[in-house]
Amino acid sequence: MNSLKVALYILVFPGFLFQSGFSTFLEWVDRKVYARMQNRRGPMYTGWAGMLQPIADIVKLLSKEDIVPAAADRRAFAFMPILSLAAVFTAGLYLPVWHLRSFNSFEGDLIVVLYLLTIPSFSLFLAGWFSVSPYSLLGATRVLTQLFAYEVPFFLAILTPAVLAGSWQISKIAIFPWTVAGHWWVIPIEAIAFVVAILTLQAKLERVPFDIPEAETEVVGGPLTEYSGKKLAIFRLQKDILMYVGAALVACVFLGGFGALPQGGDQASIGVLGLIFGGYLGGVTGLLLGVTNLVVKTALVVFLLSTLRAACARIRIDQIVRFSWRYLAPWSVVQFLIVLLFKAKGAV
Amino acid sequence: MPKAGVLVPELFRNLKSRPVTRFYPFEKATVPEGFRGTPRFTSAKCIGCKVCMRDCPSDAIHIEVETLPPTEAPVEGQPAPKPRKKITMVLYLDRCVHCERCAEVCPKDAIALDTEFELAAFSRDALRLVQE
Repeated sequence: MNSLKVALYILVFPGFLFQSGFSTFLEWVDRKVYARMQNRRGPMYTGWAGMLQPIADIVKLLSKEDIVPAAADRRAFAFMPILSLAAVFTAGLYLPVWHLRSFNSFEGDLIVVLYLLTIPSFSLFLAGWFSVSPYSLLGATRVLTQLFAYEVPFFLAILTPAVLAGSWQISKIAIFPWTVAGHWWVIPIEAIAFVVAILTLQAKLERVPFDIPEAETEVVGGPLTEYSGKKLAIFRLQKDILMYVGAALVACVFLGGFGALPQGGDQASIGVLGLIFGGYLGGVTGLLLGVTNLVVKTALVVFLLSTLRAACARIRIDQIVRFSWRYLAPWSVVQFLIVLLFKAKGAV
Repeated sequence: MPKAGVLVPELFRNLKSRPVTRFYPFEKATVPEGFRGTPRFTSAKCIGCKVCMRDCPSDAIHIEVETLPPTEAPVEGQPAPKPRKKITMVLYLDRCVHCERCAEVCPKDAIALDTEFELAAFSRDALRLVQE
């Protein structure tokens, strides 16, 4: 019975089916917002207002011919998409989604998720490396260079709320603003870290303005130049799920989560604000509130990412390294100090 | 980055405004004023001068003037009735460049361009318009 439950968790909710479905929904939100900001309509014909278009794209790619370059390492070439998909999908399992009490949550799962979120970048690098093509190699080296630029600010930004909450457990960080009545003001004091997290998440997703590894005007498709058919479809799905996991992680640690209590967590200690803006309730009301919170908060993060994408042009690889180390990292450190100051004064 | 985010107000304005994309094949597209569509020929106005045929830059117009016997019988003491003319315009749409030259040079305004623009066809014969 218990193993059946775990299998359901892994395969259905919050596992594979839910993640695939919800991440395509987020991609639709992203494409729609991006299109509307450019005065276009975006996807229109597949499903209501084109809602099923991301799924249709992936299904179409799955049916396409799959070509492996003659010089490429066949096995490694085929393994990289699976590895990156597995990594993001596993990371998604640790996110506290409504009413599961995060079935495999433990003290320190934030570190695990951050670690798992690094694997896609590495597998992307290796995918480019094993393709043995000039464009792929160029893209692959850019992936790694960019990784060293954004990863440290990203970690610093995500760890700030963890220090504030005094826990490495995502669900505990998520409910922290709601545990004491009138405690919600810890959300605004993390604003700098939130901004840094959004910027670095965009870099992690390799989207404009940080789409340097796959800058199509320079290096065709970057590390994915040689990928086609099913393998490219898996990479596409991986990118969608990465966007969901990244957005949900940011929403959990900065915006108060969406209704999943940590193991042994007490619902009674959560104030009214937390019940409404966190959805930490049982029953049908809790389900509705939790799901609404999940959709609204992740969509809000995706909206910010799309705005960033629409407002900016691509920057150069040296510019992102300079920008990350000159601005993002110091900002995160300043935020860290602010949080430490609050902790030292005993305000939190 | 002194100007980071200058586009953002514009983006949010766009969010609220109507999209410029139209549902063209599903909704009839409106054409702008003065749109040059297909040349349409009014045989009754034509005098058969063939200026359009001569001026057409892509040689897309062919005017055929056929003289028919008069319908009325000739009457004594009256001038002979004029022979009727049957004028046909053959328009080769595969060559027409929609320049409106024919309509401009026509002294009797027998040619005017309409707003029809969905002119694709599967065979060349379908693009040969015979207008009487």
